[in-house]
Amino acid sequence: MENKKLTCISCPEGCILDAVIDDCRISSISGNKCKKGLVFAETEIFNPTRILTTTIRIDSEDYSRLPVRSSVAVPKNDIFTIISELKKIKVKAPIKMGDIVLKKSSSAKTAIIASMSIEK
Amino acid sequence: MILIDKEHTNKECSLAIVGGGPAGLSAAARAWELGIKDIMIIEREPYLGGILPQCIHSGFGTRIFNEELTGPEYAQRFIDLVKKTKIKIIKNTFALSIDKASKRKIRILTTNKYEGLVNINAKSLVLATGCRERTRGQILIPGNRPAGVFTAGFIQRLVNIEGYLPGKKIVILGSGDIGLIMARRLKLEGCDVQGVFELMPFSTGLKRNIVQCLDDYDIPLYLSHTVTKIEGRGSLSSVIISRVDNKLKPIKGTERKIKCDTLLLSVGLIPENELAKTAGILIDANTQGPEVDENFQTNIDGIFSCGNSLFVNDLVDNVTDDAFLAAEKAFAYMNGKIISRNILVRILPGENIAQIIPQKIYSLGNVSLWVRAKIPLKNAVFEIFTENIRDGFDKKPDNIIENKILFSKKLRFVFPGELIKINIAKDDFKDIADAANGFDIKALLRIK
Amino acid sequence: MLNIFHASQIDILENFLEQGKMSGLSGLEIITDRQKIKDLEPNISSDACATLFAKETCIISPYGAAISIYENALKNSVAFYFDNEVRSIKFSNNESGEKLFTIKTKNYSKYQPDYVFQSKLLINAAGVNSSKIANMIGDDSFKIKAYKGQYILFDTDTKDFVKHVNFKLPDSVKSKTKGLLVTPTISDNFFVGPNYEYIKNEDLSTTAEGLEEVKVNASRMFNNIPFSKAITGFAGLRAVSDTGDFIINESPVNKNFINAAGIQSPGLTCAFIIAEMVLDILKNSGTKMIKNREFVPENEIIKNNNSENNKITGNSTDIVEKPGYEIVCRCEKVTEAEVIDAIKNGAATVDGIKFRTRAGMGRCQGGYCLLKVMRIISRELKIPFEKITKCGKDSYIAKYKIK
Repeated sequence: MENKKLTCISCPEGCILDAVIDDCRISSISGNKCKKGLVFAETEIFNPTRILTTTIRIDSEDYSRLPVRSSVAVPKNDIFTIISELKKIKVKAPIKMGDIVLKKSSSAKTAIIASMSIEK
Repeated sequence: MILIDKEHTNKECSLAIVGGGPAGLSAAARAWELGIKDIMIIEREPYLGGILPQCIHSGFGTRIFNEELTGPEYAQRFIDLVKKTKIKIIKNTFALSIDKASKRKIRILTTNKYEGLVNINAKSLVLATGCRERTRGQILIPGNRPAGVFTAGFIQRLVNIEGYLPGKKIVILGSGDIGLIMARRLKLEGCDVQGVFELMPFSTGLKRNIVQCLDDYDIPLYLSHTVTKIEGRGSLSSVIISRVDNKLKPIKGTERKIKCDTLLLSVGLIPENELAKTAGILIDANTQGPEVDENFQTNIDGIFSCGNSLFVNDLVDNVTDDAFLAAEKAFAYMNGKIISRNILVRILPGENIAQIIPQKIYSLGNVSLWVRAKIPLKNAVFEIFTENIRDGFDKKPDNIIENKILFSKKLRFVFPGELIKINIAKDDFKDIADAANGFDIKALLRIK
Repeated sequence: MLNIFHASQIDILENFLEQGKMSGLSGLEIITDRQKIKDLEPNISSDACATLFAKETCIISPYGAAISIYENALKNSVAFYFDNEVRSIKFSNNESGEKLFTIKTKNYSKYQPDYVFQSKLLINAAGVNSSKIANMIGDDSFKIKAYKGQYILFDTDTKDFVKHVNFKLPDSVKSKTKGLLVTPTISDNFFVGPNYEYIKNEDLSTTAEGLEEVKVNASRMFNNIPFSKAITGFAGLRAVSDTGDFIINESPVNKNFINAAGIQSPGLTCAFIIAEMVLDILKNSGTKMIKNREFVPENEIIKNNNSENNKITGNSTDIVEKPGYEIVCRCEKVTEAEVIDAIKNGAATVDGIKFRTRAGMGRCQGGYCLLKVMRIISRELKIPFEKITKCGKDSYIAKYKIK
């Protein structure tokens, strides 16, 4: 049995949740004022994910950096690995918002896409 | 300073919009949708999007687009929309001043390095000039003046657009959302972020940002702390941090030195209205944006204000909403639907309220108020009551009942970082206006 | 306006009036009518009971003057070595038996070496460090202490707050200063300060206590000073000598070494006269001087703002850019042409451009224009972004390039 304290980020209220984990399952949650807290606790405890955003190098007349993001949230623990992967990449204009700059791979379990269109 | 040419080129349009950021783009898109043909966006930068291209993090557009977008994506959606229209985009162009050429003609003097000085004449104008950051000088942090002390927005631009780091050992003052977002951003680029220090006993940033930006990366947040000295000759070598008491004054004996090469300041945003002032637009001392009515119209007929130049918003989605409203009202004005005005009621911010928009209301109807709280409160109540002060009167007239509560609304929690929108139905508002009887009303927030 | 707040100080004002008249100043008068004082300065405290009004007082830009003099010196072939601290001075014979000073420096710039200079004459104008420099040749005839003064500068939208240069006569008769100022600047804003505090080393930092002292004392002279409109605080040092006067002399230990030391207020006003006094000392001691026929007395500062000559034309396109119409600094409305001119006149750092053009001096303190200014410096001087400094030495702004 393990006790975990979490701040729910589903809404501005920011409930402090007390979760009891028993045999890899949440056996009880308290402190939440609504049921969003339950859903949050479930993902946050077993597979916390975040949307990753950063910039990469681009060959362009007007820009030197291209903002990029993960198309969906990535596991929290993969963030630094993906960022170091992205530092090896340089793309060339033109590029369109949504273009894939880094494909899914063993280290990046989700595609990384351009957040902005750069024409030249 | 600019030398004024004798001859200016003139350009005509029906609606001019100053600022090509989220507010300006949203206003333009909505105006086009309504059928306004001749729209011009005047933008001083060589690109559109305003501050958004440097806000590479996600969290934008959850209401407008029902998706979690990054700043550049939110901007790109509107840029793509605007590019499909015949809206004229005038980039690299700085608006210097505004005046009224005639009753229904607004003149904007602009300059750019390709055409020189150009007058843009418009029937109506939407100001969407955004905001700027408070600086170290404005909060008078004592100490030396080395390199390495920068505002959050400057560093955000340096890192995300130019691709440079200002240093590697970072101290952050101010726990507003930009401070929190930059703490994470710099950490991801390999910087050693020593901590985020906040003067107030609470963070003005969103809770989710404290979790996602600080807790995720073990960056400590110190509430009731401030920087009391900046050290270093050429470049920053260290800062002195002190705890503050409940009057926000540094407590002697709590000083500690933190070695760092960068001090990032996230100490507030101020609506930018230098251009508005040239037209004689009245500025509210609390919002530092123009005084507006329920139509977001300023005291000058035909000139509307929206976005962060009206008041600083916490969500870009709200900026878009406000800009839509400003565009709709500009459209109504151009069709003669907003005519001469008399103030029905004037609303003043009272206890625990930092800002309230609009400042004055002209006509009966459903009313929306945007309210910013000064402090976080749980189980609060928002109230409007009669205020017995009016320009030229310092005594209460006999027919006004002092401190009569005219409207009240319960709020489960209020938070300075989140704007409160209060909707008042037409009938309720009529009662308020009748009771005020031409005198000011005041709004406050208190614990129930 | 030299203001007093105690009727008992009127004698001091009268003394100053006599002194002023003796120095040949005209337009001096003592005003005791409180309403008249209020008419001159509507925001002055009602406690102001009299003022010595010097109608002919003017203000200039002190840093503008310094930059002009510097740029004129450059035109007249004076070589400047910045970021060089003098570490030792020796006076000895060279191979041909000539007596020379050998001056060794430590260079703080990462990209330049230390220097060794040799000279026949040496003028010591080292400000708060001038006794340290004199000591290097064994001259201990005076001691200099640094007294710091802190100031608060306000936004341009407060420019009507104060109309004249206002001093408050210090309460203590022994005070060495004219007291605190509330004064407009030539740039449409105003400042308050300084205080007066002894410091041990060359410390230019502002302090919470010092700024508070300035606020409190300024508020005794003026009502409702808009401190929320402050845009910055800064500090300066006065070089105060233990002799109680300026030291302008041949060093008692070496007649080739001239001191111009202990120059506190009004140093800038006296600067040219001090220079002439130094020349006289040199002449009297037999230094040979030949008139320089190539001397350029005036300053032809490059100012191409808006001129048709100042165009940048792209190589491959026909687009002509006129930087005189490009706003770089939004607060002070500084154009790209002005920044380019400043660089042509010798500015190479962000602060160098700031003091010449006011880009970055306004209410946003460079938040908007800093990157634009850096881009122009980088382009005009062909230096990479990473090497641009705020004010020389190691004051880099964009320290590391991101991979």
